[in-house]
Amino acid sequence: MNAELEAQFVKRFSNGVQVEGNLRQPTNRFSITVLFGPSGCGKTTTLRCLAGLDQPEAGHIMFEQTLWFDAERRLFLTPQQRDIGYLFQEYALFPHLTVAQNIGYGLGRLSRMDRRRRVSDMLDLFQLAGLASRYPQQASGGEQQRIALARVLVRRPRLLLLDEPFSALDQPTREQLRPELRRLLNQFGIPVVLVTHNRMEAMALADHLIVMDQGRVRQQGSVQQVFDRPADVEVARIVGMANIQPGQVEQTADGFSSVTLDRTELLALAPAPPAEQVFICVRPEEIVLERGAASNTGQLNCLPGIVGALTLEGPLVRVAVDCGFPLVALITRTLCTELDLRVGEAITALVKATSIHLVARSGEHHVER
Amino acid sequence: MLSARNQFAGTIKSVKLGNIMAEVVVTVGAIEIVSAITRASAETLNLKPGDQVKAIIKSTEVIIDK
Repeated sequence: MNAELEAQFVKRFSNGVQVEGNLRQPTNRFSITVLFGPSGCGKTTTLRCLAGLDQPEAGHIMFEQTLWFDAERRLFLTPQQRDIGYLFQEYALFPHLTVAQNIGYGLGRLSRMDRRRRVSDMLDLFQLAGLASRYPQQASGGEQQRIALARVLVRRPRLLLLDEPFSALDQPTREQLRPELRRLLNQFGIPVVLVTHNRMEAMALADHLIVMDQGRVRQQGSVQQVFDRPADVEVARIVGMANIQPGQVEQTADGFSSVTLDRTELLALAPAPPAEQVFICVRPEEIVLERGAASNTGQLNCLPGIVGALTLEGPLVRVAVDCGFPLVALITRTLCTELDLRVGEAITALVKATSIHLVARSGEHHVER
Repeated sequence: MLSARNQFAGTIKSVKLGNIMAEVVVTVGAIEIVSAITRASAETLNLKPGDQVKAIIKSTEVIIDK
């Protein structure tokens, strides 16, 4: 049957701002749809409309065979009726209840024994057993995130909505917890819609990426489709126009990871790569080009290629290089003239090992519900 | 020829090898430029104090403070 979430709606605010939501996601298995864009682009509004926290003025939201919202039929289900789980940015844990009581809060309907068993299962699954009788404020940021997730997931909602789940955490904790979050959520087989304004998070977590700007969906697709081939300049600006290629970590030694991309091997400064399957990311500004073959710069990564295209971008020139895979470098106009770069010529791209950033790539294998 | 606007010919003042990275200080006239490169690169180039080298900085990476 139609095992999907399908939403198409318009939410209007009194100040004239309008947000158009538009998404489709399979619901019979775990997958993460990421709503990504700058502050104020409408991603949280979209999430709140999916949740039933906000009511759109037009359109409809359909989950499998159930209409959650239909403007024409004046139909609107509450969050409880939709049976969704919603994780707020700051987690909204109850400070006066213990960790176990927080997790069991939404299980009032169950018998005491069932409730205790469900809570205890969650404590184990989220590695919180040692904290059961503590209070949330005694837990670390990462633990608080797990408590909040456990509280939402213990009810086994049909759809999980996460609003900037990492915003309350510091940077190192964030990077550490990203793959962890995916692993935890995967065990439940529940579809997830996640809001973030952080590129790295979007990249590391999305199965399906939706880029929003000024209240509208600008592009959607796989991470690579969107980051690699932004639909227009606006999307390119939002995603940061980086070089992003799927690669595989071959080995890690002495602080370096060697990664392969097709037949090219690159060395990245990555003492602990985030996963075996990664996205290799390089900012175009950090690539140095050299005419012809490489001279003696001691660079670990010298990539021979052919100049594919030269595009003016303000005071800079965007040089597309074909190294067996596409690579984009940004150099100044003056230099482009001095180097006398021409399409079709041989060139070498030099990339410092410190300029290569590895981001975990989500696997294709999901648990079927 | 390299696509970097700023290329400064200078003399290596010191090379500090770490486990993974190397800190190379280059004297260019009256100023010193510090470069953090990988230890492997420093070894490939066989860098040592007194060597004549070029410090290369992409213009897009230069920050200006006023």
